Amino acid sequence: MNQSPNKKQPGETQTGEKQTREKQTREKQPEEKPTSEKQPRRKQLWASLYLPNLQLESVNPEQSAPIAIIERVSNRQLINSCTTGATAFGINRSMTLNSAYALCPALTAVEYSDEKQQQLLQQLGEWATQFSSVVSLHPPNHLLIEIAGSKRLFESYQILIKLIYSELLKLGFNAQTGVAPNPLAANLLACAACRTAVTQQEKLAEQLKDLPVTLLDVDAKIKAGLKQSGMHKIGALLNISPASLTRRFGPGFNRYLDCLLGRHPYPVKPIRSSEFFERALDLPVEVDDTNALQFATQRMCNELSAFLITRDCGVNSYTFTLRHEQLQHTCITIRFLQATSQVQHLHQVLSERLSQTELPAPVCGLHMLADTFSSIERDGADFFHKSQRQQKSLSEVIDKLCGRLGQDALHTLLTVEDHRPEKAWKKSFPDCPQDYSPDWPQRPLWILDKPKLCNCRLQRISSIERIETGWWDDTDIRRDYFIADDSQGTRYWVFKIRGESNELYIHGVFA
Amino acid sequence: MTVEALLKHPALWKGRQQHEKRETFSTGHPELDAALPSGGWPVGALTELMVAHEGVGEFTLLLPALAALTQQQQWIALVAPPYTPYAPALVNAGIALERLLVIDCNDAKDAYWTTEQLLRSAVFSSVVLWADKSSDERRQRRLQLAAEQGRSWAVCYRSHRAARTSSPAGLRIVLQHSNQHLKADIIKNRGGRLSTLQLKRNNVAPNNVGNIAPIKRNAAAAARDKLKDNPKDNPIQDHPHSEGNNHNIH
Repeated sequence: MNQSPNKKQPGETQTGEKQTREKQTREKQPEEKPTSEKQPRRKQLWASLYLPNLQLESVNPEQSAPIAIIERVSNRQLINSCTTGATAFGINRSMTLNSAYALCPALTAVEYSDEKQQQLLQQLGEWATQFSSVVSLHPPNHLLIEIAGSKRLFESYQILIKLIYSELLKLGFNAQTGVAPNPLAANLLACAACRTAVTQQEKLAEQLKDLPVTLLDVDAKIKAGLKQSGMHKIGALLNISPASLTRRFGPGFNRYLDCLLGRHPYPVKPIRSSEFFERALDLPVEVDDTNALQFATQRMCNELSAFLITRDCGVNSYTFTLRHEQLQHTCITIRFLQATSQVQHLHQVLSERLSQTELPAPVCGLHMLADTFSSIERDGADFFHKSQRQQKSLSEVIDKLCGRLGQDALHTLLTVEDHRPEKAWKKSFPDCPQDYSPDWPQRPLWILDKPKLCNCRLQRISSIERIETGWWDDTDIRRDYFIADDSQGTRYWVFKIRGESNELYIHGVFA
Repeated sequence: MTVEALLKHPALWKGRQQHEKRETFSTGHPELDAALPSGGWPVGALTELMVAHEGVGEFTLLLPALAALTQQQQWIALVAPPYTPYAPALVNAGIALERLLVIDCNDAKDAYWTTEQLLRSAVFSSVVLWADKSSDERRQRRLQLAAEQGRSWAVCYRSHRAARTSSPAGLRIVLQHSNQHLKADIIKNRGGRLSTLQLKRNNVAPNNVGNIAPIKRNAAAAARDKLKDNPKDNPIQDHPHSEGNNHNIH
């Protein structure tokens, strides 16, 4: 059977020759063309995420309750996927809903919807843009991420794939990943749960050879045809001439194979992201305790954070709505003083608000909407011990203060080489050259602008320091300074004027 | 409500839960370091100092820490000080004057605004505010939040009457003069115990010129040790000025 299409060829005369010639040229062309084209182009590498249980996991990430997604196939309701809680009852795929109900009357059935699937995939696609600039959706179950461009940022493919996988798990989604130089092959490898990443074009055929043809993303009719022809593995298809494949399965199939093997480029449509962030979730079971919403809110915050990181902005406020069956929805608006994009911050604030919220009725759905964004100030790790950043923002702060308080309100201090206490210091400004002399005698921390006559009783606790200078200008002083305490424990720097009365003047305070 | 639900409540503080090691820097006073959680002034929090009479050594208390900061090229600011800070005394305490900004304000509103701006900017490692009677809980809360945001050490001097009111500050100390000592009564200590300490008054050195040199050296050494930043193993036993103090009180 395998040989049958080949056998027929030599039997046919002219057309057969023509076809073989065609085949040769066709085989040559794609070999040459891509190499000449691809050399200047960057080598691509695609990671495909296969999400078989997307809707189920979006509804119930914990998998403990018996929940099933059902799908209508010619008037019958069949189980598409179900939680581990449901399989424990013996429910499995392709079972009818009625027999599933017979096994577990408490089963929650949720209808599969293409629209929902597309929406979920779109949301995940937006989430994935944090890892790569090229993300594409491949409905119903595939998400494609171009990772060659992100290699340098994330150090290696392996680290990136691991990161994507674990971050996805945090959102509650289980994915099978496949890595290949073209999108279709990546999809195929993901479906096959193939763990080895194929990074080189040459090794692709080798890797695909042993996979079953049922994994091909083609019509069921073609799959059946392949089966009838006795071709069970993809390797068998590779030996057959394209012409005969075209004859049997139509030109579309051949083109698909060419794209799969990387002979032809496969066009991908990059995802278009929305301008605001909106997420809705219908809870399969009503919830009357906000603590039970933790997982769902955490996921929403994760996605919001990814949304913000991709756009390099922060959110100023967002609205979180708890929907109730009949009553009016509970609406919570959360505002941030400064725009933020940190998951932890986003979630902490939300869960604190939720814990204070009184629920008027059980919650049946959640909704989050964020549409006011602004750029955020980042403080990255600074190699130069924050001195440069400090300098920049210091001037900003000083400008701001001067704007309100006036230029004179701010100053730094300098010492002056002068024995007279009043003249031993002066004001300066931060950007002026700073030069001061160390090693001063014992001095108080506060100095009074004008010495004050002292009325209270003081106790002298130090010896006298005589300052007698300044005869060259008008502020000649002749004072005996000493330190004294009053009865309350306040310590002053006081002086007597020499040759005058015994009156004491307070000149400073040892604060 | 079940116990589990209660325990999950974010506002609930559990006694046994381990405190994360908080960022602090040494006060320069070993007794005080020992009394404070994580061994020093708390970074990212407001410290309130309530003083009955000025001039009892309330500002000197801060100087070792402030000096260490400026020597690490960190900025500090004094907002609305009651008198002119005297540059020679600050130099003696080891403060690098080029890193100290003094801001005079006309009224309390400006002073609080300024302090908040300075704290939020995250440029200033420490901001010291002298608040007047108008300080209230709301304003203190703003300072506490600003300090948290800017990861800096905020200090606010308040009247001793404020000790009776509640405050969101992380650390509150009442300072009084008592028998030639500075009595520090810790009335709120987040993450630590309440206690009362007697700290030596350090600012008396009668034979003035003679003992300046050792003071300087000690201050510098203290600052260097603080740079090494392990408050518990801090080898400083003597306060920079304590030598002079012991010898010279008559």
